[in-house]
Amino acid sequence: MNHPTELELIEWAAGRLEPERARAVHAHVAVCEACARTAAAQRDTWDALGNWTVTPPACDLWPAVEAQLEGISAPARAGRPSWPRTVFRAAASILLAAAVGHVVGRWVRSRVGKPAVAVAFVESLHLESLGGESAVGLSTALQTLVPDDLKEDAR
Amino acid sequence: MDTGPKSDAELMTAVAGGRMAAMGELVHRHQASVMAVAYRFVDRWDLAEDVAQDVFVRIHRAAADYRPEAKFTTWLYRIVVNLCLDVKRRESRRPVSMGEMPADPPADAPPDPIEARETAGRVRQAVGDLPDRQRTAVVLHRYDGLSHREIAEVTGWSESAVESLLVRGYAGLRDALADMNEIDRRETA
Repeated sequence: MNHPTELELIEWAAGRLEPERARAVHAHVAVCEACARTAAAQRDTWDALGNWTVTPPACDLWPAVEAQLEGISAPARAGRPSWPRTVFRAAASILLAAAVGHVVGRWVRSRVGKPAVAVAFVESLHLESLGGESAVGLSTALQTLVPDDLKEDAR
Repeated sequence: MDTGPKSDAELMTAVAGGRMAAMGELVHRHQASVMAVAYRFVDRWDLAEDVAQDVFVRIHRAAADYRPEAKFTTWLYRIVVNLCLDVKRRESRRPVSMGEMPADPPADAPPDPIEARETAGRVRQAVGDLPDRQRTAVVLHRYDGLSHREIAEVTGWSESAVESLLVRGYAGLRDALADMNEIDRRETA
């Protein structure tokens, strides 16, 4: 005699066995006392479990859920910049500064004909009176001050 | 043109597209069942409501990852069960004060005969006394109608593990409720 498994008896009591298998179990339970006792106990337990009914309180969870979702997403919308935007702004600022510096530098050189930095340096040393042929006006004037072995290196 | 109510998968696609109204519709559609499932695990309506809210927040957060091929309710139940088990673990570590007894059924429930309420109380106690995994399998099987395979998908356990848990869980319940069933049998004989 092939006894149904305990799991099959559980599913049979629940009314969830495949029809063909359910008929076979039903036929077996009719002739097997041990299986009949287990099947009866399982059916009673299944029915007893059905006595525990739960009725959720009438409430609408959506307002509270929506408030939580708004709280989660609000900081991202409240002006805190996202990182791609920050990187883009930084890069744009650097490019703009470089462009402005380049334009100003070219304008200055076109006005005075000498490197602006060099002119400022010479003026600060009050050496313009020494004259000279080089861009900074120093090499000729300083020749008399530079030792002969260094002049070789300077050439 | 009215095309009828949208499916859960369609609503989830809309939620992933940023439509909050679709999220609201999902909440209204499933909030009662989620709270009922959660209550059977955590045994308190206030905790069940907290769990339910967390469930829907997580669904919204994970909407972009939802695949329509997966059954929505299986995915939903998975989130509910995981959150309930977290709550149970947290509550078991917390000392319980005398004022924190499990909540009775809500006041607006229809009045039951005393005997029916006692039976329901005993059943609730018996289910609550089961080990966590057995209780999870039995609750999903008996009260939510899930198959062994669906329970396995929800919990991440193997099907054979689920079946073993059901056998042991129901065996425990038969023992716990045996005297009650015996009384019922004698009364109806």
